[in-house]
Amino acid sequence: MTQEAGLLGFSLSNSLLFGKTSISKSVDSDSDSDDSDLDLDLDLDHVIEKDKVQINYNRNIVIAKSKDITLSSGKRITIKPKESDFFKNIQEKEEEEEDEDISHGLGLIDIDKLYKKLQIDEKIAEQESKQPQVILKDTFGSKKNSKGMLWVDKYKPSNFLDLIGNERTNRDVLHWLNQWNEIVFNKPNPQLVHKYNNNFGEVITDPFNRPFKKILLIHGAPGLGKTSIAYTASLQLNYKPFEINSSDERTGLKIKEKIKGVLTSDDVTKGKGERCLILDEIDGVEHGFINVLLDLLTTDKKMTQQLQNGGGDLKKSKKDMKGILKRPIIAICNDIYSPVLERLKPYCEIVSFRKPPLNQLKNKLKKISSIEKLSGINDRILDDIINGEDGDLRGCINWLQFHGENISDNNNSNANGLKDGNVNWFSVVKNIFTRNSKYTKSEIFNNLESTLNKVNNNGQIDKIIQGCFNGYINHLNHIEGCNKLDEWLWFYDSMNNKFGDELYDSTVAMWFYWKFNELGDLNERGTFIKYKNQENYEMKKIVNNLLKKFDTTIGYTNIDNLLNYELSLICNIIVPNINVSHMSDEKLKVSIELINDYNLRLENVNVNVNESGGGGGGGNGNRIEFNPPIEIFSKFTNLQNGVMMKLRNQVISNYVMREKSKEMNNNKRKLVQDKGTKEQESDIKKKMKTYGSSAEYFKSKYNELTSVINSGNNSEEKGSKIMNKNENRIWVKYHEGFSNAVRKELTYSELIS
Amino acid sequence: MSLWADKYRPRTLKQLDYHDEISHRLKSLASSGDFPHLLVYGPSGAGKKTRVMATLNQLYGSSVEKLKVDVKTFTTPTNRKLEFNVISSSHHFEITPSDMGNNDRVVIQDLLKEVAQVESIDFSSILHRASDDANNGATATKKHFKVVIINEAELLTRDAQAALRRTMEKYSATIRLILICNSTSSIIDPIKSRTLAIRIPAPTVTESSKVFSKILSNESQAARVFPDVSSSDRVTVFTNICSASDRNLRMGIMMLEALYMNNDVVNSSTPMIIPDWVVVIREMVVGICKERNVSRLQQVRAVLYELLAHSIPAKLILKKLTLELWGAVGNGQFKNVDDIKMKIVDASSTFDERLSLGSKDIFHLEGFLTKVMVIMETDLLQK
Repeated sequence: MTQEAGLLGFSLSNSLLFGKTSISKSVDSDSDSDDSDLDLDLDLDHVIEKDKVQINYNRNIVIAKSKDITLSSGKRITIKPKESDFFKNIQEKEEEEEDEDISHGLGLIDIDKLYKKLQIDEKIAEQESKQPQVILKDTFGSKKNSKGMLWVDKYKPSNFLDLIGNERTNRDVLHWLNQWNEIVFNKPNPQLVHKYNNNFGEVITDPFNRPFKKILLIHGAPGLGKTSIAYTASLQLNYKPFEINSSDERTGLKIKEKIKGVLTSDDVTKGKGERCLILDEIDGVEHGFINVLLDLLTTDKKMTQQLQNGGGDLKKSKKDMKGILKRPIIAICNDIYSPVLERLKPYCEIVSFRKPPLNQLKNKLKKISSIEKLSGINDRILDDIINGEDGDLRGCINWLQFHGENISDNNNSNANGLKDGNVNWFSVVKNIFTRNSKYTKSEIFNNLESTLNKVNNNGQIDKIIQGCFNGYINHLNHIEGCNKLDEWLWFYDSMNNKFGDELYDSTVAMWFYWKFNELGDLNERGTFIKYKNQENYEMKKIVNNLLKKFDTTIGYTNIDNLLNYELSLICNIIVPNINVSHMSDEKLKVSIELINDYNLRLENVNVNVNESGGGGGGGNGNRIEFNPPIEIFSKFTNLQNGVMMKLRNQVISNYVMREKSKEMNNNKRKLVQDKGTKEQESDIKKKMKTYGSSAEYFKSKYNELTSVINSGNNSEEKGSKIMNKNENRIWVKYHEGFSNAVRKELTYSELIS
Repeated sequence: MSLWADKYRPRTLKQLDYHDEISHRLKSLASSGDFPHLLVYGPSGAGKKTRVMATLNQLYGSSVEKLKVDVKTFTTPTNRKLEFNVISSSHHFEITPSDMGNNDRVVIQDLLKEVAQVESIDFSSILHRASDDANNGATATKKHFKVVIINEAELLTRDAQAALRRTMEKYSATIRLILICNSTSSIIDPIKSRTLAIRIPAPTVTESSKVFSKILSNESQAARVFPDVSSSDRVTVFTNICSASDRNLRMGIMMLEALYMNNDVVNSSTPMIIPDWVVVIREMVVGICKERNVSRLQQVRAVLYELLAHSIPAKLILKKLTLELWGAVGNGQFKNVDDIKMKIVDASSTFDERLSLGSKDIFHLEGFLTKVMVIMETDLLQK
């Protein structure tokens, strides 16, 4: 990690996103803030200092044009722009990349400014290319440090531009984090006024311009860089990440103090950046932990509301600020359908991580292998690695570190499966289907046998057979042949299941070899593995989650029936296949009732169309989806109605929103009436002490309220049904001692009996 | 619940619409104050559960409808934690063994003993008696036992069933079991002999139509969408629903509702709404009948992967495929249709066995379809 420390990062995309005129350059001196490298910090600062002096010395330009730069150490320095002729001889290599960014984000940017930004960017890029060498000399006088390091750590992204993967998701994270600037660093940004539409079509503003959802939940398969982005983004924005992961004690009680400490107390070492909380591996926590978080969020909500209702006066006296969330929380998990997260999700801004595009991955790996001087790595091997690790970047890097040397010894990609002890299943499958011309068929056969026997022990045979299954279909032109193969696969399956000692497992693979091995390039003979296990697995998890949800609707059905017909029919009932705008009110009502019954939430989902596509274009937009995603049962790729369903969802959700906002309005009307009785209530509060028991108090309060409502109702027209429903319910908030625990709905009958 | 299927579910024995004889017998059983262990079986959607609940209603009064769901945790001997749902009212418990997997024996032993050893003291009955003991003395004696309903009893393992048989006798004073299952074939004989078996057949078309009509008469809005009471169109629509739903009443009612929601006017030619995955399978079968080659197999494989990703059980897919193939073969260009049908069923049973024994669903589903393709091809080659 010390090596990358010297890299100077420059986040142009960041500034573009938020339309700020200032550009923040970050020097991630030490991403882990281990204190072992203190002197490095100093060195670095020194370098920067010198830099600054240089720049100041060289250029005497109007101060207004100068740029503020914040180091991750919290130091602020000013860089003055240089004259344009200075850059004339610099190649504009990165222009393409930047262009993409711009067209993507904001269309309205002064082109001159932009050009200047670009120039500065290039200048820094130039520095960047010089800097590492200097730092290397400085810190790696003793090379021990870098040798003992895992490459995964060594090549951890050090700044925002270093990150690979879908840029939009990366920026979403940064954007979310940026919204906390006002409350954390006390630097209001007028351009960032957030308005959120809640589900009822109402606009909610936050007094501190914090994001509406206070927790950022990043999820995705392992090794895609979720933790890395949390760290990188928070360091970029001058935070000091504080991580809680599954290695920490995470029971509710213990964690409470810890979290509170992080979130509320200011750091003594001011200027080093404020803390932000990173909850790693949150899918493995217990309910106690979630309860603590929920508690935090609900008090925050309450306090914020109080603050807002208390007239827009935002003088932040300490008392008022109590209970308000002041630091961003980032949660990270693999499995978003984990049951513990269910209650937390409504409060979370969910960002899902997908596999990064192939060429990005490849470039990254190439870069690493060139730095590490791995000569044997070529494109095809990289393809194999990436396929074998299923797009898991961490896995790929690990693979490179531990097998990379072997490959450079061999210098022969096809033989690698034969000689290497630690074989990659993918390369074995490849060997089964393609033959290296150097060896005879039986030679390879023998080799393969020994390889397979080695492989047997680590459970990869299953993957190999699956690979054979996926692959053979491209190599046959007879269905009779397929039929025969199926018998072999059955043999494998039954053997594997019954004996489990893998006695005959390799036989099947060998047979595949004998049957299919041909000379020639595999990749030319059609796509190889195209059935994405990970995606199917994900889908399965979604469905299971859905089933769990519906299974609780007690009794008269079971999972088989749900899968068999109920879910698809329910789906058809809720979202009919007709033009919804012509839908009669009665039908709408049915569908809305069902939506409420099954507790389906309608959520605005950020849709990324170019999920895995390379970089550039592709539309993005918001779509409204059900959560849990019930419509999944009508989603089959070769059925057209999947697309229709989305459209219909959109329309029906509008209606649902309308309906809900109606309901809300009714509630509001009631609230207004409540306010009218405020005076009376305060009287009651005085009287409260005179009442013997709390029950009597409730009764009296209830009577007061109903009389008011009734009188109010008489003057008004008769309300809707919902109104009536609300009438005979009152919410009573009950304080005794300091517990606010007793807060429950009372019904008329309960009071009377 | 506002699904029609739930909304118009009969609550008492009196409200039941069909199988009057069974209802009558259940009624006399319940009113006698005591009843033996029951084994209720019949196809799904025939109204087994509804009848059982109605019987309990008769027995205990409406308090059985106050259900609550408890999540019980149970530690197995191998120290694995197990969570399962127990639905209960103050008078009965309801468990589903498929929640428990292989540990159902231990769970059932424990749970039943726990329930059985505590004699239920029913305060409401005492209060009840106190208020009017004169005319209703019988109710108190009725309630000295609790009822345990075991859903999907055919999924109980042999062990669990064996564990049940002795418990049924030993604790018969405090506990009554009601086993609900689709078929009795996997219930062991000792249990069959200890229970009173009640078969509940699927409702006939006329019976179902009666139920549909009843629902529509309560839903005046929906009734306008469907044809008139007297018209023959209505009969055809209802018949269509029944055949599409395999006379599964619950499914039928849901289809009825879906039809209403999706159409402005329903008549005899309105297409039925069938689950999407069935549509997918149907398309696949049509494709197979049209042409059989490796590229078709590739398409088939993609579809199968997708179906499995939707968690649809492989056996269900196989069954549906077989039935659809059975139907589709007749309209094809094949010469010896009966022979093909027979071979398809043969293949289907083979691969069903493989599905049970093996663990790679995709291998066997695809294997079945390749086999079918081969069968069809050989037929065409015959002169």
